[in-house]
Amino acid sequence: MKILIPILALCILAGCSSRPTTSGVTVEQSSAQYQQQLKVKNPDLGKRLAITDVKTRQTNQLTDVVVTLTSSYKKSQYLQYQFTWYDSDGFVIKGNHSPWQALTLFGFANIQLPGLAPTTDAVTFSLAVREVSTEAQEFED
Amino acid sequence: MNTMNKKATLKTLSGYALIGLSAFALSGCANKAVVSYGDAQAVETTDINFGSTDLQKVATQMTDSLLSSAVVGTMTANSRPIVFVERIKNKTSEHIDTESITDSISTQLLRSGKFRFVDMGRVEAVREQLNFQNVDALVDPSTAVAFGQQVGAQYMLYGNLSSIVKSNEDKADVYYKFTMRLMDLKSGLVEWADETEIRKTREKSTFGW
Repeated sequence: MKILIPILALCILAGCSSRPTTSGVTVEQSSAQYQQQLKVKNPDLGKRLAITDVKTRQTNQLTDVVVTLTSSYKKSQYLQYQFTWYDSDGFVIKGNHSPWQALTLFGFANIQLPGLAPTTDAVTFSLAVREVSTEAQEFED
Repeated sequence: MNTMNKKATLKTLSGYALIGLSAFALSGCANKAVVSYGDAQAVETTDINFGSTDLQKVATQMTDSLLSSAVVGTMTANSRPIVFVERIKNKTSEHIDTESITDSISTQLLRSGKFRFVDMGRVEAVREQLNFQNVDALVDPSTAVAFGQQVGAQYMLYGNLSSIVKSNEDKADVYYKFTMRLMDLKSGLVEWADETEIRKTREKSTFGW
């Protein structure tokens, strides 16, 4: 009986506290002069993940970008990333519903995330990376 | 004797308390209906079947690949080619609305300003409307849109979606392959092609309900 109660309490907590963490790591290109700004809004994720490089070029008159993500954690991480595009005045490109895309980052691996501007008006971008809420990942310190 | 009785009563009471606590826990988790709006763009992992995230990934990757290809760069340098979307053949074992995928791709391509589209799905409706304008006495003939003025498509966009599904007692694995091609209708040459892959696995969770 004494053992059952803590187990039951644990089950209740596991079952009910399932609201996922939605903060993550973002990189923003604040102007067309390629000034990048890295923001870590989830320190736990920031310890396991780093944005190490951002490259931009023009392809067919569209802004083409690759952002390099580097894992500093030994196991695979299940992540999602989203590009948001802005015009030269800093307005978000209307009607562009850039989706969150799933990504598996293997232990201590690098990966390049490619993004292409949806229109020729889109000149700057921001990239957000966060975890996928899944029971398949449990982290150790 | 009295002490034994007291112990038995205490045991029964704690038994009832445990049952009550479980009932409370279950009712707390199961019976509370909460409605909220979700993010339509978020990664969805409800089950292993083809879902919104897969559709969005396929559409975005195909559009990006097409728009950044060198051939399309040359093709769209001085003009906006006219394309018609044939269809995506669904070769998987699931029911998938492939028109939804082509809709997303054609919308994104149109929005890029690089291509123009003709919609073969609305030919009958257009014919009916033009018939009405040209034949029916209700319409002023000077404002009626004449037959034979539509523009023909120069390119055809088409593709396949196939899957390999494998599973055992503990694990299920599904692999999707989406192939897309752009054909020049005049020469019959395939000017651009690309494919994207998705792998999804489901394993039994050791914890949680």
